[in-house]
Amino acid sequence: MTDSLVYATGLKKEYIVGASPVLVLKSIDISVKMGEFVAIMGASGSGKSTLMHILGCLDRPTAGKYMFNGIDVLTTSDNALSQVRAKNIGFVFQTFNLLADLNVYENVELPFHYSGLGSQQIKARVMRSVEEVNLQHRVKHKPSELSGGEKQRVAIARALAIEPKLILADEPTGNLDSESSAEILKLFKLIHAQGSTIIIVTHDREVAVQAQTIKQMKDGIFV
Amino acid sequence: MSDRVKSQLRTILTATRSLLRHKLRSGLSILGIVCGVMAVLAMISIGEGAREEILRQIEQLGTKNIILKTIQLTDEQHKIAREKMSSGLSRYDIARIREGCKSVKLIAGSKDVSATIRGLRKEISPQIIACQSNYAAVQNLAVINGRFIADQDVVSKNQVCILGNSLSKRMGFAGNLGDFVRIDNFSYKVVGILGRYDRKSTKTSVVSVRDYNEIIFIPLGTEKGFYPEKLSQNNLTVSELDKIVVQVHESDQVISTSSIMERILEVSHNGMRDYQMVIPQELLRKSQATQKIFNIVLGVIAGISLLVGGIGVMNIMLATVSERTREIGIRRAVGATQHHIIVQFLTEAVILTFSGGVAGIAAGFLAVRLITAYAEWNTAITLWSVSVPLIMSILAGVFFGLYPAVKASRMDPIAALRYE
Repeated sequence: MTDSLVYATGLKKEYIVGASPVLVLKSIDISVKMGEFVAIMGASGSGKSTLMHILGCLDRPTAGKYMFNGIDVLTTSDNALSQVRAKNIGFVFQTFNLLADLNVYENVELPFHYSGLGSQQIKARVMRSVEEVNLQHRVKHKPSELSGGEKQRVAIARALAIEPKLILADEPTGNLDSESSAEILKLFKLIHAQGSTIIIVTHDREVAVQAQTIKQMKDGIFV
Repeated sequence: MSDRVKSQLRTILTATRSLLRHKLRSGLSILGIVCGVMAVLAMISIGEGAREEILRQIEQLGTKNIILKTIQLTDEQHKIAREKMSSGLSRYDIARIREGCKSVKLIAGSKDVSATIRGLRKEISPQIIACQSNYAAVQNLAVINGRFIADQDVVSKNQVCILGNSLSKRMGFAGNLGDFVRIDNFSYKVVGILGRYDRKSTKTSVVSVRDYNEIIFIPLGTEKGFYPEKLSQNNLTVSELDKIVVQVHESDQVISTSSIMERILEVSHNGMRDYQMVIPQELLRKSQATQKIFNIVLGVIAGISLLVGGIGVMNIMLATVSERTREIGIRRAVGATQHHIIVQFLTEAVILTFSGGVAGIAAGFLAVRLITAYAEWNTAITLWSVSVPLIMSILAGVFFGLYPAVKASRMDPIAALRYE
């Protein structure tokens, strides 16, 4: 499975809650190829967010094997994983997670603080990605001046700007009305059509059906 | 501009912006640093001022000089002195020192005279010093008009005098070359006028330096006429000289010469300590030792004030870090390493303390001015007194910002992202 962007087998994740260990991920096998659009579906508490954090190199599994883009995540240092995230992974969160003090442009620019690209290149990429989500007229606005849908578009632009190998979206429509949701989902489909690899985590079937593949999760395993 | 510089500038800009978001809080948190830096600057400036003044005064005494002074004796001591046949400093001492110490370059004896100047409209009572010809050289006095006392004047007891600069001006018509000045009942011809003597001392003199602008010099020996009844050959209560100034060739000969002089005088005075030896170089060394203690005290005070200020900054930085947990999570998610997070918060802490330092220096300048104006202390703002507190404020930022910054960097990114 060397041609997979994401390749994981036997992923386990255990948390210590109080004194007793809780097994959130029991045994997960997943493989995502370049250009795929995968939805991971499950109720809250099924472990899908934990899985997303592991796939996004924000967290490490307790046991199992995870290769991202040919890198063995378990044996890679924290700093190197930060670099992996800065260059190859774009996150889109349910709560947008924009920095309130920065305007749209600066929010989209944020990942480049950590990736060491030339300033001309950064500017071009930021502008292109802002245009892609159709917010070029709002670059100077602060997140507080934007609607929910617009905020999520900024977050998507931030994820796209670094031209990542993988876009990870955690309930991207969870905080949006149906109209904005539809708009965001359309955007994801468009991005996928342009060749991006996307993993979307959701509890919402309507969202999941947009993907090519749906993986159903329950109690820490795929069913 | 290179991208590296740009990214550093961006870090500074980001930090400044987040500090400006809480202007009052940031301002209050640096108050301690401001006070600390102000205190350090003021204290260093006062210390430097005092040091400069002492140095100046000691230099005026001459670092190549050794000064012998006659001590005022008590009646009891007089009896002993009489038994030991010692009558204070005299020309014999000069002769013996000249003979015994090869390192001596110049030597001059002098005697303070109390007499009044007569025949002037205004009553002027300047100091009168009877001295030998080398006096001007050992005390670094310059004659701008005429000449100083010559050896011949002393030998022949010529009634000539040299006037201090401002005295000659105040005396008006009588204060010019060739004029005669009446001292008690004797007439002295003015043969020289001293140049303006820059007496760099204020109220806080540690060592007394004579005001040579208000003085009359007469040849040593001629003063004996002022008190004929007192100064008979057998009267031992009055010493012939009040002061002998010895100047050596090189300043490193001072200590060795002084110990030879001690021995010579011990013998010639039959063990009677009716004189005192002042070594300006020694005073200098002592003042440097005092300065060292002062510096330590100052350092401790500075340390305490910066400690207090630094704790304030640390407190605020800890609050900031926990307030911005989510921001830390976001930054980590988009690729910030722990190092990036440390740098970010450390930059904020240093900007805080550095601006506190700058404000403190401004306040310090003001404080030093006020001290100079109202307390009339000599102060000196040097590069030292500005750079030390400024560097200390930066170091305080690094030191007290490190813990909050490390704490921020160690946060679990996922927990930070979920933080409400």
